[in-house]
Amino acid sequence: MTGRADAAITARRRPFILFRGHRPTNPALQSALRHIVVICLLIAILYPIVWMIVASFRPGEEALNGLGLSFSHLTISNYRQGLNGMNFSRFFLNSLFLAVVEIIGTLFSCTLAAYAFARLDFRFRRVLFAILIGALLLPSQVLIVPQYVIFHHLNLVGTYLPLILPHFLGIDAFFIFLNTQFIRGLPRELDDAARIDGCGEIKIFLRVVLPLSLPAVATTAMFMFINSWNDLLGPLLYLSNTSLFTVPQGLTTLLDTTGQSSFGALFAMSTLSLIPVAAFFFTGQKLLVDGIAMTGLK
Amino acid sequence: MSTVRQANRAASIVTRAVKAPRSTPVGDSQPQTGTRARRTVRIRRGSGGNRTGRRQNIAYLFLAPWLLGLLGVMIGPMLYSLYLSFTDYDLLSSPHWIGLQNFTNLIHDPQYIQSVKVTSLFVVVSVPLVLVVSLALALFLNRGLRLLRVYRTLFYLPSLLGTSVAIAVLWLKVFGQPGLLNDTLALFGISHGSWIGNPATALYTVVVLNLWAFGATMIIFLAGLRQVPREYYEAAQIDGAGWWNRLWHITLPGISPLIFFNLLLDTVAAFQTFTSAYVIGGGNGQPAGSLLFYSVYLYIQGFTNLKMGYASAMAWIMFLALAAFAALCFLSARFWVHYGSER
Amino acid sequence: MKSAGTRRRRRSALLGMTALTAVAALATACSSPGGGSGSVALTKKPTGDITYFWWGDPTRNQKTDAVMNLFEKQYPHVKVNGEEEAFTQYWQKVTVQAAAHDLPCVTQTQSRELLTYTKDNVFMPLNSLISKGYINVSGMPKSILDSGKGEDGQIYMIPYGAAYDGFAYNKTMAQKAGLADPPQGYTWTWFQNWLQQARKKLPAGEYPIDQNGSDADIFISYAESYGYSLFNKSGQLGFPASLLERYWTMWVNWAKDGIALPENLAAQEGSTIQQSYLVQGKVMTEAEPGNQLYDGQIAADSSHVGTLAITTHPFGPKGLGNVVIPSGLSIPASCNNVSAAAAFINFFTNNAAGAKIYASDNGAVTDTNLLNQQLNDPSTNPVVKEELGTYKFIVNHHTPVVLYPPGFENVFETLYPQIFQKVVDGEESVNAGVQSLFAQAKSDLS
Repeated sequence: MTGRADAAITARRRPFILFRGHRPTNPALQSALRHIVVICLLIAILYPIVWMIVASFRPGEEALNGLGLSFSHLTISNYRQGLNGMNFSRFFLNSLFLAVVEIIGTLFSCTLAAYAFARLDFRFRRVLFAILIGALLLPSQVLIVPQYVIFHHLNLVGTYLPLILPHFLGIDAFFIFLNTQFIRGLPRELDDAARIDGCGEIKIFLRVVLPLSLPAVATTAMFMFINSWNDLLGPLLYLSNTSLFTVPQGLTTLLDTTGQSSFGALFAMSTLSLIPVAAFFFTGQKLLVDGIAMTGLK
Repeated sequence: MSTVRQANRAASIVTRAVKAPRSTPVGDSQPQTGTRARRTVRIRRGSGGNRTGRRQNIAYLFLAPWLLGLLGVMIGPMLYSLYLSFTDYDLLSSPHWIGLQNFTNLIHDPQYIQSVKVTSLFVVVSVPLVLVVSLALALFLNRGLRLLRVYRTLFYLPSLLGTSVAIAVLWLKVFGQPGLLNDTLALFGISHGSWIGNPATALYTVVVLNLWAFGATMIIFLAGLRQVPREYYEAAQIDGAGWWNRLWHITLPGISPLIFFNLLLDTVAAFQTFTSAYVIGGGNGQPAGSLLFYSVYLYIQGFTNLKMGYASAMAWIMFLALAAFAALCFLSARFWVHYGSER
Repeated sequence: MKSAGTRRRRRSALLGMTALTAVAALATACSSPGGGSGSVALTKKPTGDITYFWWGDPTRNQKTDAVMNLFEKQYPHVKVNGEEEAFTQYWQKVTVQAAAHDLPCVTQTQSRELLTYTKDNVFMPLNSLISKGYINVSGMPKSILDSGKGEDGQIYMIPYGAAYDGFAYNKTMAQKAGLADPPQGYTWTWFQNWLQQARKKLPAGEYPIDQNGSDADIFISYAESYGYSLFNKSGQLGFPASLLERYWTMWVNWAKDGIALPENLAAQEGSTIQQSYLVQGKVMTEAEPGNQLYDGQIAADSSHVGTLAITTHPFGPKGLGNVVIPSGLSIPASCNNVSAAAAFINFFTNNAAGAKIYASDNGAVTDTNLLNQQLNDPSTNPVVKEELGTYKFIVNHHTPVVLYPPGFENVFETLYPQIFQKVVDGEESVNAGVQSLFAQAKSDLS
């Protein structure tokens, strides 16, 4: 600390000593207060979700009624209707399959590209990186039609490929950015040690950098899972066979303005759809937090 | 498990190495910084020309999937949409060139102006709000609470529902009349009409929705707070600095890279808001056009009205505006973002 | 060496980019129409696969599947694959598929959207299929069949279900208030009177009518009942500003007098029938499409608000104004199995067993014989009968055909409600609002 800063802080010291004297020093009380505040906040924030969950256990016609949490007439008929009658068990499997494959594709292309940007020196590196950032900025609606035409000419419409291929081709600029920042923060000593030992870049990537990038990889996987799970536009455009539908697509069929909407099933299936993502998040939190922490700092 | 520990160790090495002030001379007792090690290695290797050449080829090998995707699925469509913005294109017949007419029409289109106003207001209100609230909560939760994992997941839950079709129904239950907010206000004797149905307040319900789904931003801040070195706080405590000084002089500079990250990405996302606005605004920006967001109007013109050229022109204007904003962010970053070195 | 390599790389990158742009441009330009339809001979014994794409809710989807199965029994060598989406998502997909000339062989369309998509040979004219007997439309009223015509007068859509917009009302609520049901042929003046009486007699919290002023479909009937068409032959607005001013003033006055539900409540009303205020017992009258009465009654039954009924929009000086909005089936020009598509369309529109299963789910069945059958069948649901009865009344009058020009969506689905909502809130005068709509419509509809 420089002398000037020292003096400044010392000068402000006196009033804060006074303040410090009045602060409650009981750590248990402080902690309990914090918990209470957090719980109150959570109640307010999560009420709509809790309402939806309770409503999903009401009979279909009563699903929309009221604002309170009435626990009479509980039934799992909405869940049964959704999973069996409306094929959602199939949709959940489809969504899961798509998510896993898309995650693999994203990890493949994004870690490779990130390694290049972070560790390798090549011409156009700055230009390409600027293009990478630029790719985040264009609204997706405008790309829909040209992209559809391309896949149509490749005869891929109606399959999962138009949804999967772009991820193997690094379409998620955000994750490339994230992983690049992370790898930049890793110490070069290990790379260089491996290089001295005669390892090629690919070996260095696979044996040194990738294992160290686990937090970033986990972050990518988690966010990618959420994106894939909630994606509606892609499946809507490219999937026509109902047995290939994903969960968000299935949810749209429950809310139709020209006929009967099944609000009970909508709430039930939306509730179910929350569970995998929440579980995934809950278990992988630590890696996520570590992953994000590293990326911001260099 | 071991790799995580390895990663943590590596990370702490990085933090310590990076913390070393650049102004003080690098003595032998200091851990070897990256540049030094690299220089040594290069001498060992001999002629640098060949190696750098091969390294370049390898780089393109690593970049190959991304480049292929960029050219095929991104740049091609991007350039095509740029071309379309100078044409009159109804998707069914071939586009025909009309030059700058789309752009001049846009300037005189009252609905376009409305969409710009609505979206700008939304961004200006929503982004700072999200940043401040996320940061405040992250600071609050950063005290090593037990059950932190549970709390974090619970706070993150709403952002998983943000783009779901169910959200329109839920939001009506909260902000409609009858609704949760009005019932709560009634307890205090305040009566109010529908928040969603009133053009003056409808936009703010979408702001609240965006805020409700603040989970991701908060998680990022929480992570960043962990990385601010404890030594700084301890030193500050010894010197008697209060919470505001600690916040302003240590915390904020320490997480400034993440503030930057969140500011940029949240603003871009806010400008591109589509699903929540579309779903709550009944697909046409109602009531009275107060929810006619930019992306919603773009969608209406492009897909419902089949004026794809017009919509492409809108998209490119947005793109240029966002690019300018991003450039501004990056330029200004020099003045307020601190990558790891001390203040 | 390095520089040559870079130059080569840069050149090939540029080439790659140009190539791909060209591909994308060519893709759209060259995906011109003209599938194999002309070359394959038509036959009344079709074989092969076709796909039928429709919009609907799960109930309609089940009914459609049953009809498709019936068809396959009668044509054992044809397989029909079914694809369905909810209404909003349906049009999104049709748009993109139409752009790529990738539409399924039997695509459902609606008279409103027809002109937007009959350009550039997206759909094929069906006149020759009709004249050669592949599709039988003899049982269809001329006015209904005319609604499937494109700008060039050729038929592009075979209507199978005719929907109409009417005023649905709560009979029970009206009776409690001592009001008579609207008689057939009631006028706008009678309607105003009726609502004013309801205002006096309904309990607090219940309104005579929902605030439907922002619903352009009612205005269409109003204009027709005064002898004006929504659009003229050149695709511009076909009615005078004064007509719209009178119409909007009527609704604004109803809002002021408490006859119509307050606007901010109407603006938050959900878009599904279960969320409508009619079904919740908050209003006595609400504008609804006829074929939603069945679903509405189910919802009304669960909230015990009473019996619903539906009637036409009021008569004006020139008589009945209601228009009919048929949904029908079209064949894209890129279809490669026209025989099977034609056979399916013919079956769907004319087969008695199929029509009984489908039970006019998407609007009244267009074939007159089948319509009468459903009306006379004792097993037909009474609510459906009510809806069909009103439809029959409408179609027995001379129903005008509205040609919706491309660009109408933004004017009537987005602009019209937006401006009306400002007017009814008092932010803009009726006069200024109407002028603003006319000005923007002029540029949008050109």
